Amino acid sequence: MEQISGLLYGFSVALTWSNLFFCFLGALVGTLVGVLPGLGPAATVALLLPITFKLEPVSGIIMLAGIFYGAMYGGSTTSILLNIPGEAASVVTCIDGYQMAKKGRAGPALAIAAFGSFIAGTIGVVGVNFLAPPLADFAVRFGPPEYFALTLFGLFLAAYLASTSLVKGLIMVILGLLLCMIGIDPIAGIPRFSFGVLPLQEGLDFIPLAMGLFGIAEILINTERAMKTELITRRVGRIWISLQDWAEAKWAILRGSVIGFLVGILPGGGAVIGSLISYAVEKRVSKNPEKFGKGAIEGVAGPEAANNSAATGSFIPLLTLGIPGNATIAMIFAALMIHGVTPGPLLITEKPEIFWGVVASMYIGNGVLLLLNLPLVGMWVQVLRVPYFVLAPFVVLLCIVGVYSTRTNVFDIWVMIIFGVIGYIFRKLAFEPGPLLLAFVLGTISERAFRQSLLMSKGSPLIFFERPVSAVLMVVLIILIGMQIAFLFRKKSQSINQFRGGG
Amino acid sequence: MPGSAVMGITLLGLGVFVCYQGLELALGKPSSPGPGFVPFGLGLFLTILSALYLSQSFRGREKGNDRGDGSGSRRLIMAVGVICFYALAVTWLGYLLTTFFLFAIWLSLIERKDWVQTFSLACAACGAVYLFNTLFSVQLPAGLLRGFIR
Repeated sequence: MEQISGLLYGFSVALTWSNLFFCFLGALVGTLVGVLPGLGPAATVALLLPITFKLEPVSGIIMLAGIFYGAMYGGSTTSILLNIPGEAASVVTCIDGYQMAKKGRAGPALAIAAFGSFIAGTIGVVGVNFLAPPLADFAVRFGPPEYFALTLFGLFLAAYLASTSLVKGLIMVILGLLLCMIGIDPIAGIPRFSFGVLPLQEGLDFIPLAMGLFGIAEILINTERAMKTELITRRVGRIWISLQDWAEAKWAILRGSVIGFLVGILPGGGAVIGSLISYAVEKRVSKNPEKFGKGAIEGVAGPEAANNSAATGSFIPLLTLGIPGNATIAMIFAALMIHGVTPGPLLITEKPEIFWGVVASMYIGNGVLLLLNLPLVGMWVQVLRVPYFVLAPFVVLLCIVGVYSTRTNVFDIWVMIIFGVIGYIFRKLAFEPGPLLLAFVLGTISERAFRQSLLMSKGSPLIFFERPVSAVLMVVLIILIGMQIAFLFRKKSQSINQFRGGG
Repeated sequence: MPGSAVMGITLLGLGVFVCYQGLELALGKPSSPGPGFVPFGLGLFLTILSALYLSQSFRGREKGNDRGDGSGSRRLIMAVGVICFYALAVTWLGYLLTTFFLFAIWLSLIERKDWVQTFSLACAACGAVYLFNTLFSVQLPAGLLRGFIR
């Protein structure tokens, strides 16, 4: 079977000393950023992107992937002990995790979060292992109409799922698409939106944009708030789970794993939404829903499982279709492109060492993370004592040096500063930067596919409805948009009725 | 005027500007779309969405996140200022001196730390960036210290 032989080959790649080291390093850094509030996995992957240029592509991607799924593990620690989510996907863990800690059950909460994450992470990798190759075989037949429909669908879902408001999400997508159009037009060869500025004719580079929107903007927000770290005084206790805890949590872990994996595959889905859906499902299926919010172990196990399997599942569209589904995966996409590797359906056949090496490293990484998170939780708690005033200028320095080192150009530092300030304003006004970055990455593929499709069909937009895959995606997209418009009208008529009733 | 309204007006203006640029770049025909075809369409969508956002903002349905107080704004402006200083001075002063000043200004003026903490952390940061530059052969500008360091 192709999957088994591929996986064995992957282990031969991942089990070399250097790749084991980078897998461990990724898991370690991921746990660290997961634990530290105010520095998410997207910002960290952006910060460490330039370091991977000096590495073998497979080693670099193994490390970046480790940071992404490692952050999901680490994020639960601060949620449970401090009621502060280390990263966005652990927000929901605060609700019951912190209540468990207040009742003196921090140990079981941390243990179930780690075991749940391990089981879900492994289920997610098995899913990638067995689903990705057939999906890639299928995607080889895709042409420009399919790619345009896929990117359009992905961008709409990213706007819809990743933002609090669809209008804001769509604005961010359009801004991302416009930013990627700066530079030479790929078909006509004419400069666009460069206004005679020479560095702009080469187009905006991904790294200053990502570091500005995620790294610098995050620092500015936290600096304005004068963020302080709180010292831990709570006793963690023995980190283990009783048979009763296990019996209560096992189905929540399995449900969370499946929900997270399915949400992770969707563009724009990812770990945050996976954990939120899992929590809602657990509360609904529970025989004692009144326990939720007061320290229910299922409320920790389900979401923690979901955010891990979602992180792993989101590698499927990247590795098989070449379409990243969220901001962190978009940065891993950029890292692959910088190394001259084009992610997509041909990745498995053309660069099997990267595909299978990364998949095998995820199995290893999950084991490493379990070891890092269970016995060493005390050490991670100590890490929280690093004051933020030390961390902030170091992150700024890392951003500046990282951006400069990619093209040795001060212009890129200015681009980063400008997007840092823009990113700060976006956050103040509750605009999510994720869809913008995703659109920036997908914009070139999307525009080229759109224009090639129109050239193929001599200008008829019906080409997107004539081929089965693109037709299905476009119809689903139209239904989703129609549902949104109907929802808006219903809400408006309800508010008018309320106003009349009140008057 | 609330921040969301200013944002809405800015985005509206940007949408109109992008449409104009799209026309300038040449739209082409649907059978052979020109370089301005997609930007024009995106500009049009941006204009419509901005108008929607602006109307939501005037109806008071758009609220931003937390608003900072006066001291927060001062810290924010100083943080942006010190990062801009780095970009301006790095070529002339070199990466080691600008890193030292970045930390010195950040810790003493923004975080109000004493000079012992400020000086020791600034020196540690210089050491870290020197190691990074040497290990990864980054070629950061040496500036005034050219001849003394790589």
